[in-house]
Amino acid sequence: MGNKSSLMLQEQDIKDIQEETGFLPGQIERLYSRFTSLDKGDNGSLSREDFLRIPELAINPLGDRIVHAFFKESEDDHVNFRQFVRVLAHFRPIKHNQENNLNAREEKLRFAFKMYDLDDDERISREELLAVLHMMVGENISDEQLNSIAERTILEADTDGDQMISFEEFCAALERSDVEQKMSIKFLK
Amino acid sequence: MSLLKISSLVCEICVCAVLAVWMTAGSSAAALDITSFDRNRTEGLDDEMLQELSNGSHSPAHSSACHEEHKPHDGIRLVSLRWSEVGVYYTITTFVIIAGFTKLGFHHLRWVSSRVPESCVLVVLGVILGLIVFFTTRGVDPAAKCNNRVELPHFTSDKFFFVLLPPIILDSAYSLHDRAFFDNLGTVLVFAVITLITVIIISGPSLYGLEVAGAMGNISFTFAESLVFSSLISAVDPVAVLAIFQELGVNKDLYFLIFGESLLNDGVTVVMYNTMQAFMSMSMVTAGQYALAIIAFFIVVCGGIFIGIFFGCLTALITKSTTDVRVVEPLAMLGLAYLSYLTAELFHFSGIISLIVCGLLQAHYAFNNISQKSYTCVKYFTKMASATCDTIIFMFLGMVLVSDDHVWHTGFVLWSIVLCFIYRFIVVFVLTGIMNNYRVKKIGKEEQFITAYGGLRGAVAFSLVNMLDKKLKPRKIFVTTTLVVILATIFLQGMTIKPLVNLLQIQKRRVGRNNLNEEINGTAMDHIMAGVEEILGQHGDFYLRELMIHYNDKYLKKWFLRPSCETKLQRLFEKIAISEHYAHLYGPVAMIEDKVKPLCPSIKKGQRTRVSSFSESHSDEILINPRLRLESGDHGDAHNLPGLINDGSVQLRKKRGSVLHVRQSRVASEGSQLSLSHQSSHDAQTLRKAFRSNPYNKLHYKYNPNLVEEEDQELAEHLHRRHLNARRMSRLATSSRAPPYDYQRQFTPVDPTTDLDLQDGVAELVERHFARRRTMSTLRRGAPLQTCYSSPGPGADYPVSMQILQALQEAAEPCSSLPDMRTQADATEEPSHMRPPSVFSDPGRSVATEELIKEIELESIEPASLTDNTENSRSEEEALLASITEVDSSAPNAETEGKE
Repeated sequence: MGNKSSLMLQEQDIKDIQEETGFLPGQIERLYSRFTSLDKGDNGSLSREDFLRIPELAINPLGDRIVHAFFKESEDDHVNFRQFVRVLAHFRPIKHNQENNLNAREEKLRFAFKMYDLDDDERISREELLAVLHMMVGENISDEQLNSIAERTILEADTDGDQMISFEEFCAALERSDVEQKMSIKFLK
Repeated sequence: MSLLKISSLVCEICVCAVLAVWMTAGSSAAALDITSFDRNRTEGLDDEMLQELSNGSHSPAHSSACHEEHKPHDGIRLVSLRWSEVGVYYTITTFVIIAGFTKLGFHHLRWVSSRVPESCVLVVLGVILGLIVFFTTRGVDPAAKCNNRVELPHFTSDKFFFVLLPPIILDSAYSLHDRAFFDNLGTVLVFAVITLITVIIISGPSLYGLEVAGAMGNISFTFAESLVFSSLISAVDPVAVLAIFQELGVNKDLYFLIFGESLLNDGVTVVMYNTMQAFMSMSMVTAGQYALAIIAFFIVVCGGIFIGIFFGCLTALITKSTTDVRVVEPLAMLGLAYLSYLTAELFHFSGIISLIVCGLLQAHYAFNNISQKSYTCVKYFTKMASATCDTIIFMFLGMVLVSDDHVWHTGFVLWSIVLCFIYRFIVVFVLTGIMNNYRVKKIGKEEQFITAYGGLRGAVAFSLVNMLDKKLKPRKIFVTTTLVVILATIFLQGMTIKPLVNLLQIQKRRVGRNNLNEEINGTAMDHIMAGVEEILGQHGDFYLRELMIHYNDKYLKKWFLRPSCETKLQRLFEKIAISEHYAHLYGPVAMIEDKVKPLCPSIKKGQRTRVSSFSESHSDEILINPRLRLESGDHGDAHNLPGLINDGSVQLRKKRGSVLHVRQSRVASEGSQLSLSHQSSHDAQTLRKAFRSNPYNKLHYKYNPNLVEEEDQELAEHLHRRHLNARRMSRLATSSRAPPYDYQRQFTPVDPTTDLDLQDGVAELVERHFARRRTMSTLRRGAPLQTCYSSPGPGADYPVSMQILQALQEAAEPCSSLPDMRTQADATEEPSHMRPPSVFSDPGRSVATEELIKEIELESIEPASLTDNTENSRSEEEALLASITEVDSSAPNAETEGKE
């Protein structure tokens, strides 16, 4: 299966993708084989069902959101390989010598930001934050307390006083955290 | 000043010396009619204590041998000494206390502590003590030794492993419960196991080869002996590393890399040492023996882990049901941890590994089960015990240096030091090179250097070498060499590592706690990364972590945690909320009290002293968010105040559905009302009533048998927080409202008799504060000032009532004429946080409003930046306070706070 799939990937495609994302050809082939193994319908694109079939995503509280993030750019609710790789490129470790926009700190943060911002208005509202918090903490915290936590969180980050967290405020609030390291994955070689 | 401190240290040393002389030169004891007590054992004092307990006061065997002449007096004696019974404990206690106090002396000697690590100073002190003991006891006839001497405690391997080491390990195990440690666990394990084994395997034969080649000169030892020596000298020592690196404050990754390595390589050391010793006694070593040695290693490590898990879980289960008997909580924690160490040692497993695992589990589960007080108790006890043991270990190391028994061999010593140093560097660099391929965060060259350079040797090595068979020929050389290597690493590397860390610009450790955003997003990021790994089909660190958290949440938590346990996020939130709550609660009151103080000195004095005694401990607890100071304050007070207008808030609630807005507007309207009705005496009265019924008093007398959140009932805690808040409040209030001279003119001439003036002043102060607060909250809601002014009445999105507008203009006036204070505050804050001025750039605006806006801009600084600048703001605050009150008593207090 792996062999066949890598054959389907054209040389030119690999080059384009490499240029765009900075992945090495070997990594791209690996990703492609993963892509095809996820693609149960063999139609060259992944649907939401394909993603959600991954068993481990079921226990991930943010699983749905992560899957959703892959579909940000697609119109027909299908992700092709290019889009798939482009999303994953956000999680490449940052190296000093190579300049690539996709895995910059800001892009990583934007991915995290999109986890909250469901309605794409570039702002995290209290409700959006609450929804994510609910997913992450489960039953452990009472609604009342979660409410106040959300409120406080927004207040903490909110500099312009609109009761929302814009992307700039989001970045500013996370200024001290080590996003570059945390949101990087050692990709298969 | 410093002379005084030095002299205090000298005093301590003198006391040390006197005690040593007194205890060791026992002849005076006879004159004091002290019954004799045999001190001739080599086992150390602990055994003697046991003996003592089992035999009664003293064993009949020696009382007959030496003490015929000291027949007990008949009859009743009025004054007598019970040295025979008390002596042992007395000596031990005194020694421990003195050792502990040297820490104090060290920290007061600034110029020493900034240059030399504490461990070095302690070793030097130990040497001095050793010298004193040595010279005072040298002349004593050995025959007279059966007499009345109580020896100073000295180093024995048993004492080290069973008394001194466990507290240090436990304390570090608690500190290992950190994300950074688990993130680096793989690398740490590789370091701890592979680095150590490699170094042992290389350096042992190298030493042997050098000996055979004749590079060392006149010395002879076998191959097996060289391996034993290398196995005990190669291990990095946790105590030495901890002592040095805690002072350094390097970033967490590097810290846990070195410290984790030093802790975890104990298992390897013990196994290697035992194996090599076994090899030494065998004539032929077969392949089967090697296999057994490897199996032994796994048994020692796994046995340790298993026992640690067992006791860790046991602690969790026990603490789950201690709700009614809080007293036993610290006992359960500490006792079971020590028991896990002892149990592991009983079965020849690694006690250190067992204790670490137990400590980690305790930190994970039991800490959440026990009450805050018990946690504090455990924390303080382990810290105190580990600090004391640490001190004693280093002093012991210094003391054993002074002895007749040393055999110096220059060649061997030098080669050992050089080989230890070089091999560690080579192995560390090679291994990190390999490990970096598997790490997302690479270990830089500088950090590799520090990792290798931080490989300090310490008391573990010395204990092991002490345990060597007495009949071994090169034993004395080994002992001396080990000691020299230890001292060389502690002194040379320990003293130079600080400048090197600065020179190589190693990233330092981040201080301060996470804010809520970081906490939430940290968790979110973990989930995201786990999800992405799942999509990739690549089961990496994040995936494993996620899986572990999942099972932890699903099964383990149910068994080991109380149902009421809070999550980390909750705790952080509570911490922030509580500290702010106090700020809201007492801010205004305390602000006024601060001003009143100079007027009633008798009250002030009492309060001052009480507050200052607690001011050291909690300085970092309080985060003040200028935006929130009043908004979410207590509603009880707000209701008591007259003229509380609620219509605006109702409207708001409908429109925005946000509780916060309701609060803001309530305070806002209340403030405006206050400032509008300018009847100061009436206001002052109401205020006083409000102050009297404030929740502080209620909280204080609450009956609370279960001690739930009972720190809220402690006067000290309240006073302390209140005081801190007061200072910040007053700083904020004065910095933007009035310059110091204005304030003085208003208050200093007032003597206690003119009560009315005082009340007026207080009222005015408070009401100005409210006015300012209100204007701020108006602006915060996002409405530009322009719209507030141009369109009175409810705006499109943010309704602003007329009263607020009026008050806004009014409030603008007092600050317009006094800009100099503001600019001073301006300079200290970071300009990047300012609001862009373009929003307000309107030429038709009055000067007064401009001033107001500037002031507001100043206020809208991020809370994070405020906490970051605590140092700054505090000193600024002190300066302000000093200039405001011009009272002598505030100065010493200010000094103590400034130091923090």
